[in-house]
Amino acid sequence: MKYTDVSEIFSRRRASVVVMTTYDFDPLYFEHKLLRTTAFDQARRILIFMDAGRYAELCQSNVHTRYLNDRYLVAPVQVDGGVFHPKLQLLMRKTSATVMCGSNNITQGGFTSNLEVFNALDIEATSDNDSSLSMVRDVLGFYEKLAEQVVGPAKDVAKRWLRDLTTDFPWIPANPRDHQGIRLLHTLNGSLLDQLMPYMAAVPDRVLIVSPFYDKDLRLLKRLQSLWPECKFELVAQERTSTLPVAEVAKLGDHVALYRLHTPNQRRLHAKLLALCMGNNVLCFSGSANFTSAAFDGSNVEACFLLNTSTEAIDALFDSELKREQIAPNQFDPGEFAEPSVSEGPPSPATLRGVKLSGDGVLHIDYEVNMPDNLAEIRLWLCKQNEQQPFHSIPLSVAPAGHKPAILKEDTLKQIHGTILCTLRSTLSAEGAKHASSVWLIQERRLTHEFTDRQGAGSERERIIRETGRGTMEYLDIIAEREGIEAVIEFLRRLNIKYQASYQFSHSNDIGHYGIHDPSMSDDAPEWVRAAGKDLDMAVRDFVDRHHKYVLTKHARGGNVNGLSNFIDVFVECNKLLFVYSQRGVVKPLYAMDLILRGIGLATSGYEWLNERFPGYITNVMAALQGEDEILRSALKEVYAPEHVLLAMSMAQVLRWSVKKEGNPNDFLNDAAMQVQAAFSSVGIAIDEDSLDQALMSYPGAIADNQRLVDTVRKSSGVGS
Amino acid sequence: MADEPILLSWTKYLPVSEGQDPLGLNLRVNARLASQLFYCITSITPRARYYSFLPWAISVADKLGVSTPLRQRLRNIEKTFGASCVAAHKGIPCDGGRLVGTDNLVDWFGKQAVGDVDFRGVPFAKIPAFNAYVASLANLGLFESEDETVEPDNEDEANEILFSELNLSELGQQIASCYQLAVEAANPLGTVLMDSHPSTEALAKWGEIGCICGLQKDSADMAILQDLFFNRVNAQSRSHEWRRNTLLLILCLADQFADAGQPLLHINFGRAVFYGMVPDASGQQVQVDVPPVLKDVAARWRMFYFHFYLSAALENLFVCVVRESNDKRMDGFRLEDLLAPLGSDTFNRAFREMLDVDYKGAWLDLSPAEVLLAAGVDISSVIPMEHGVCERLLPMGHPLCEDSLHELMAQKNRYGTPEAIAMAGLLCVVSCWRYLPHDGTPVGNWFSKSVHDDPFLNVTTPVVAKDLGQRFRDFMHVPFNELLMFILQRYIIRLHQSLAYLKSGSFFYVDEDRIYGRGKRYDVPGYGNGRFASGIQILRDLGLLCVTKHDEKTMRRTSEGQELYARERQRKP
Repeated sequence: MKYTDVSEIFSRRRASVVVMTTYDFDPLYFEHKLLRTTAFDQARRILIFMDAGRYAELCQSNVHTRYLNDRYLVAPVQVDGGVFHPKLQLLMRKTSATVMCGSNNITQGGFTSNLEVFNALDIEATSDNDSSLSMVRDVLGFYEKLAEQVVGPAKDVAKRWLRDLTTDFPWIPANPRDHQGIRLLHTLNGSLLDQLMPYMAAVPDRVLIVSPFYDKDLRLLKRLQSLWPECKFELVAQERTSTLPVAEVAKLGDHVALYRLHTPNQRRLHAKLLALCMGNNVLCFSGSANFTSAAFDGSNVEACFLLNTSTEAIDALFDSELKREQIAPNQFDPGEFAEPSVSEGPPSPATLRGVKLSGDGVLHIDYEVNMPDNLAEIRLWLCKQNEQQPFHSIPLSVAPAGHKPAILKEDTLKQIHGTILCTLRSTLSAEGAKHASSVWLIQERRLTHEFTDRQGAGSERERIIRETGRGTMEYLDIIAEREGIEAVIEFLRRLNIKYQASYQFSHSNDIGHYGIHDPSMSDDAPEWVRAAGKDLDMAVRDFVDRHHKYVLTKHARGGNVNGLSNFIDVFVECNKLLFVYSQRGVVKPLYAMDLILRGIGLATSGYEWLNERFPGYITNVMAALQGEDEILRSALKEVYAPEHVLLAMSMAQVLRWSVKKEGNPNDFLNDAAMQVQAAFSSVGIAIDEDSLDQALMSYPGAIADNQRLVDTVRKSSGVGS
Repeated sequence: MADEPILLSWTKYLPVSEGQDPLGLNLRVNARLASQLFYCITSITPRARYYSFLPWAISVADKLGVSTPLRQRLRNIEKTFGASCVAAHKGIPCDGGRLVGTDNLVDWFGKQAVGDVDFRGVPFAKIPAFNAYVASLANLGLFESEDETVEPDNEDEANEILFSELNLSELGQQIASCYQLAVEAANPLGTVLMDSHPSTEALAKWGEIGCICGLQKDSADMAILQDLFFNRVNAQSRSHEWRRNTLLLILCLADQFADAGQPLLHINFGRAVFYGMVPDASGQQVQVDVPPVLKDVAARWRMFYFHFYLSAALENLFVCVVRESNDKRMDGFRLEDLLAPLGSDTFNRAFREMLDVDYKGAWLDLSPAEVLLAAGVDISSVIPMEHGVCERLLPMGHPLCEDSLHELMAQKNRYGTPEAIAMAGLLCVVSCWRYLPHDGTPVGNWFSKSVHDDPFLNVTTPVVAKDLGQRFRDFMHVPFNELLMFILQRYIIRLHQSLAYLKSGSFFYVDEDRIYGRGKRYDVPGYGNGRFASGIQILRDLGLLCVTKHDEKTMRRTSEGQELYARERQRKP
């Protein structure tokens, strides 16, 4: 039996465009977990289609997102008389694509807890397999049809992005091709059953149905029974999580057998599967469609893979861990569930369909006034996520159909970054009561990430930064000059330098670092009450902290010498950032010093922080190599590791010295300096002048030309001043 | 290179471990407030003597040779100290317990014959006292730093001074010398620390005068420790003054509580600062008197107890949600299902009796104002932002005041019940309503600062009051059905999920509007004032408080406590 960690598929390779569909969407899970995976790392565009009803509920739910409609576009899809239910994902790369089709929504449950069925295909542009390339075409065709049903200004953006895909990825065939492989079937082409029939070579003798949801009257099952009266039907459902009408099942006779599924870890069956067995050949239908007429007849939007397999493969889905057991219908307890359906709330006096900020700074407000006679006033509020009050408010006309462009001032535009909630506030004439309808602002310019052309800085440069971290400091200066500090902060927040290698722990008995911490808070109003501000200092320290945690600590714990180059790259970039931004007065010297010392601890023999012991890379590599120190020595020399660590030590000493400016920097932080010396002595490595000069060349002028720093490092290394 | 296709695969179950403090109410806002008001006293640093013993240990560590790391040497000294205290107490734990690492030493002592002993092989505490106390010692200025004067930072970021070496400051050396003087008669350095096989007599001699319970009025380190805690050492930060004032406030209230026959517990302390009253033995409310000089710190503690009552409400709701999610297992549930029992006649009949309020109709359909009216409190014409209105209308002792609701809710058999949900909803709303006049005041601003500019993840009363006001305008007139749905959705479900994604641990997950448990239990709400007991112990250690004859928990100022209190009240900080 196969189990797949779906999020792991997103961690394999970078994608340049990602398109996803889901009924339910949890932006918190998406942003905290999926968006941090490799697939999204450099994605130029990320488009998520979701059910319009669920979208509207999500907008009202106070969910605290950071990047919705800023880094990724969520396009609500309206389905008249049904729900938008497909779970079809496409990761596009320059010469390849991955198509995923399953039953899982983009939620924590869908990715971690529920029992779902999942399929993924990797497709190479160079493939001579027609079915593979055609699959990409079919998926794109499906998305193009979906885009037509998007509500509000997201529609045009989605349509344009999808159009761009065909030009950006010329290897996608212009038209579908005939083939015998796995096919995508979806309800935008009509009834799934109708589409299925032509692929059936014979009448099935056995049909396996796995689904949590069924028609109340089992009409779909009854239809299939009437089509194939001799066929045996096997229904697999889970007790307490199903809508299976057991009384109806009992009436269907011996040709319908009911199985209850036992799952470990309280896993909830959310998978959907229809397997039509014709002898040993099986035509399998796997995706979003529950076994209901709403799904199969096309009231809902659904998408499934149609694939050929064998009865062995189908039977192998169940075993002792995931056991199915036949049960009499009257003994089966389905629970009290309902299939996802259209929910209609009370009519609101005015509805906000969408708001888009176009690249030219114009705000396009798309709204409907449903009760023009009852309204005294309508206003659009723009609010940041963690703020209660609007930072901008626009009065709107109470005319029945509304589309208003508004030109925003430069100062207002500067405040727009991160998720912005737009709320249409309608005041009723009679009682003065207020109604609110909310959507997230589509920030068109920010949604496309031109990793390939940042003002001439070039894609190669960003690629190198993301691969190695090299040149981050210098590149930030370019961004700052051309796009401003906000852009630097955003870049730092989104930059995750790749961890490259693998991975135990060490003991050291140094005393660690303790700090005087004055927690007293003043009595003036806090920022969150007044207005939230952005902080370059925090962005720099968060960036360093994140890379210590996710790259350096991981290397240190693993103690794999092959990761040294990646370790040093990230280590150096973090230190450069801290030192330079400290010199510029952005980061307080002692904060910068503290973080540099932590990095040194991770590079050498570890450190202790708040009663927790963190590992040291060199110590763990030595432990892993068990006496083969020469391997470590040559690896360290190759990347000038001792020189970089010594430079870091000197930076910390200069920063420490800078607070008092007495004596000279080498007099400070003796324990840490000894830790550095001890680490390299234990490997039997010394620093020479040439290596130090070579290492210094990787630093910008602000560091390499800092005479005090250079003097400090030369004195520490003993290579002369 | 294309990966192999994955076809008809089940998705993998990814286990998630739960974390502590699932709503972040304790480790975030509570800790930030308490860390200022009980600066340098934490829940794990309850004994005053450690504040002189540890500096002394650092001062003598070098004399034991420098070949072993300092941390190891300190550990060895602590272990010998532990053995001395156990020997002094004839093999039983020290009075009041809490001497770190002595469990194994007590066992060992039971098996050990008198004479020369070798306790080096006896296991010691995994985390020695040094680890627990070092941050407090650093903050008290006992270690050397060139940046002695730390200006309070208006940006609410902590100023941080870091030590890579641990050298005692002048104050640290003074305190170390005082401990040395206190134990000089036992000469521990010569006879115990340097000796690999000290005699039990030598150990006991040191323990008798050097132990954490050995701090007496005439001990050489007593005066300096009092100076330290009451900030007569000229530490500049506001937090040092707040700690001093907190300790004085406890001394001030101790006698008043004792007169009312009430124990010196944090819950009474909370009542005193929140309502200005404590109940006496007959259940009558007795006004407490706080001198002007301590009004400021009392007002800050009042903010702490706003957070306390909010935490009680939200933690109880969290218990209800987790219990329901586990009870319903794979069925999951909707928030509407959780609230449904509050609409039933059976529930409302019983709940009226429990609250002692004869409200009409179903709880879910009533607004807080309607429930208050049923209890004889008419808020229809009050101005919510007016100071003193709540205090007049809902004083302590009223069945719908925070204290009464909390007392009812805190009974174990109520955890996770529909009654707890109803009470938590009312508690949350009433405390937010009472808070409104404080919004924007200096002390309210100080309280709001504890949110650290992230009111989504750091939830406390100003945040909830603001959210409720924003969402419902006059939230006291909104039915509980709407209020509870909002509170549950925003402060339980979303808040927990957001924190859980950050820490990768969640008790439940939400899928298509249903909430599903992950098999992890959370049966007891977690909130309180963790540092209060440490503060009391420190005052007892300093000889300023003592238990009354009647009750271990009822305390009074000692004569020395009276003197110090009178003296300190007059002193200008």
